[in-house]
Amino acid sequence: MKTWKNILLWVLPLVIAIASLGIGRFEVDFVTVVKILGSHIFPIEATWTQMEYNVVMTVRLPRIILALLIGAGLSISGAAFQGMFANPLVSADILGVAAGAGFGASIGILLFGNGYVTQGLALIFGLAAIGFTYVIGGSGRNMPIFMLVLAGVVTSALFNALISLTKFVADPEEKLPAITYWLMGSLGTASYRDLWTAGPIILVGMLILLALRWRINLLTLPDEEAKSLGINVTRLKWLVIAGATLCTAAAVAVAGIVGWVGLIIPHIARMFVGSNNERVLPVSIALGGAYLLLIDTLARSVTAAEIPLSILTAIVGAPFFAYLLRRTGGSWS
Amino acid sequence: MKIEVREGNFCYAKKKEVKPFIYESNISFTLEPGKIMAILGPNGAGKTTLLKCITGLHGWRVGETLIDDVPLKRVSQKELWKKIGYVPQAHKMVFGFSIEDLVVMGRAPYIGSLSKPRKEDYEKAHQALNEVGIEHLAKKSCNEVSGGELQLALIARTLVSNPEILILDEPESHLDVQKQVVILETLKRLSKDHNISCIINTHYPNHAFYLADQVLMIAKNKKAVIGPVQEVMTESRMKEYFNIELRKLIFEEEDLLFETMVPLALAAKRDISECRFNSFE
Repeated sequence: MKTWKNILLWVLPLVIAIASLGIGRFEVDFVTVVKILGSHIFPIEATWTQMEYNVVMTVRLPRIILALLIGAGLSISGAAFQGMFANPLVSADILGVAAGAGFGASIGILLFGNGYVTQGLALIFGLAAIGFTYVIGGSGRNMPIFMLVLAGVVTSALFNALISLTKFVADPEEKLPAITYWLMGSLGTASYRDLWTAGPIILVGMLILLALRWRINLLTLPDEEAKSLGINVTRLKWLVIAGATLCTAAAVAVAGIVGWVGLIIPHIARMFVGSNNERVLPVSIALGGAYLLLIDTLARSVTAAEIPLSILTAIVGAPFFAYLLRRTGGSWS
Repeated sequence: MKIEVREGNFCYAKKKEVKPFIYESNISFTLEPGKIMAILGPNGAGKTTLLKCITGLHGWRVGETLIDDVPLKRVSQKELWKKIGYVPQAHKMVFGFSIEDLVVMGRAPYIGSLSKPRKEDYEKAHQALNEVGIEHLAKKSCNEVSGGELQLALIARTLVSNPEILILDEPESHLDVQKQVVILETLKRLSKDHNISCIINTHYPNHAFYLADQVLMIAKNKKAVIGPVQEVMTESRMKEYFNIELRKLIFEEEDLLFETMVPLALAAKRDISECRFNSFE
C-alpha cells in the first residue's frame, strides 16, 4: 500500500509532463509525444511531422522541465524554511529573497533588456537580500529566529520600494509592461538556455536540502535544545539557508516571482506523510513539480494569451489555504 | 561519571558594559557518579541559567565545569552530548512529530551529518520508550499526548545516546501529582540502574527530600550553599532563601517515613471559640 503511494507520487509528475507536452494551441496526441521522446533512446520510425517534433522538443520540453524544477525547488525550500523557522506559515519570501531577486531582475530589464544579465542580477540580488537580512538580523552566532523574520520583512520592504522606483522611472511603453509582467511570474520565454543556467543551481540547492532533511527536524526545536542534541546549530542553519536560497533565487531568475507554491505544497505534503521532514521534503519535490507544471499548462492553454503564474497560483492557493486554516484552526499535527 | 564545577559564575554582559555576576558567590560542587543533586531556589534566582552553564550551553564567565576531571572545553560537542542528556521543560511542539521521531532525535550525535536514523536507531528509541514506560505511544503525535507523557518522551530522548549525566530543568512542573510521582520514580530508578548522575531543578522541597543526595540552594544576593539534603534544607535556611516560614514535618506510618516541608502560612488557624470542646449542644 505504502509503496504504491510512493510510486504514484513519482509517476504523477511524469504523466502530467507527458500529457502537457501534447497540450496547447498546437495539439500533439499522447502516443506521438511518447514516440517522439522514445526516439531519443530507441530507434523508432518517424511517424510525426517536423512541426510536431519542434513543438514538443524545442518549445515545450524545456519549459516543462523548468516548471517541474522550479515548482520542486520552491516547494522544498518552503518546506526547509518552515522547518528551520519552526513556523508553518513562512516561505522563501520571508527572508526577502524573492523581493531582492525581483529588484535585480527589474534593473536588469530596465538597463539591459532581457537575457543573461537580468538572470544574473536576479541571482546576485537574491543572495544580497539574504545577506542583508542576515546582517540586520544580528548576524552570527545564536541569531534569534524572530529577529531574522523581522529583518526579512525590512529587507522585503526595502527591495519592494526599489522595485517601485525602477517601475516609476521605466519607459511606460516598453520596459514598464516587461517588468510588471515579469514580476507576476511566467515561463513564457523559457528555453534550453534558461534550463542550463537555472537547472543546475536548483538541483544543487535541492541536493543540499535533501541531504540535510532529517537534521531539519532538529532545527524545529528551540536553539539550545537542538544544540544539546550535539549538532552545530549555526552551521546547519547556514547550510539550509544556502540550499533554499539557491533554489529560490534561481527560480525567480528564470520565472519571475511565483507566489504561494512554497507555502502551500509543504502543507499538502504534511497532510500525506506527517511532520517528519525526512519524508516531507522528497514529497514536496514531487508535489511541487507536478503542481507548478499543472498551473503552467493551464496558464498557457486556457486562453489565447498567457496568464501570469502568480495570478493562477494565488487564485488556486489562497482559497485552499483559507480552507486549511479553517479546518485546522491554525494547528498542524 | 563525575561532574565538577569549580568557582563558576555568570553574568549577562552586553557589548561594553559589564553587569554584576548573577550569583553572589562563585559556585563549586562535585557530584559523584550515580548521585542526584537538586537545585533549589526562588524564581529568578538563575536556576535554569545555572544548568545551562554547567552543561556549557552558556559559557561560564569565570570558572569551569569538569567531567571526570577533564575541562568541558576540551571535550568535543559531539562527545559531550553523548554523555550529557539535557531535558528541557516540556513545551508545545510546532510540528506534530510522532513520539518515536522525537525520541530518535537524541541519536543525532551518533548519526552522520548527511545521513538519517537507521533501524538500530529506531530500536534504541523503542528501548528508551520502554524504559520510561510509554512504548505504546511511539506512533502518537507529540501534540496529542499529555504533558507528563511528553516529559517522559523527552527523558527517553536523552536516554538513546546512553548518557552518564542527566540535567533536568523542572521536569515535574506543570504536572499533576500522579505524573510528578511517575517522573520522580523513573528518575530515581534510572539513576540507580544505569549509574547516571542527575542534576535537577525543582520547586518542590519534597522532591528534593525524595530524590536528592545533595542540594544546591541559591537565591538573589545570597551565597550558594551546597551539602547533604538534611543539612542544607533546614527551616531557618528556607526562610532565609525563600523568604517564607516553612515547617519541616517528619511523619511515620508503620515502616514508612516521610520528610516534607509545608508553609506555615497555609496552616488553618484554630479558633478557640469554635473548638468542639467548647460546644455543649
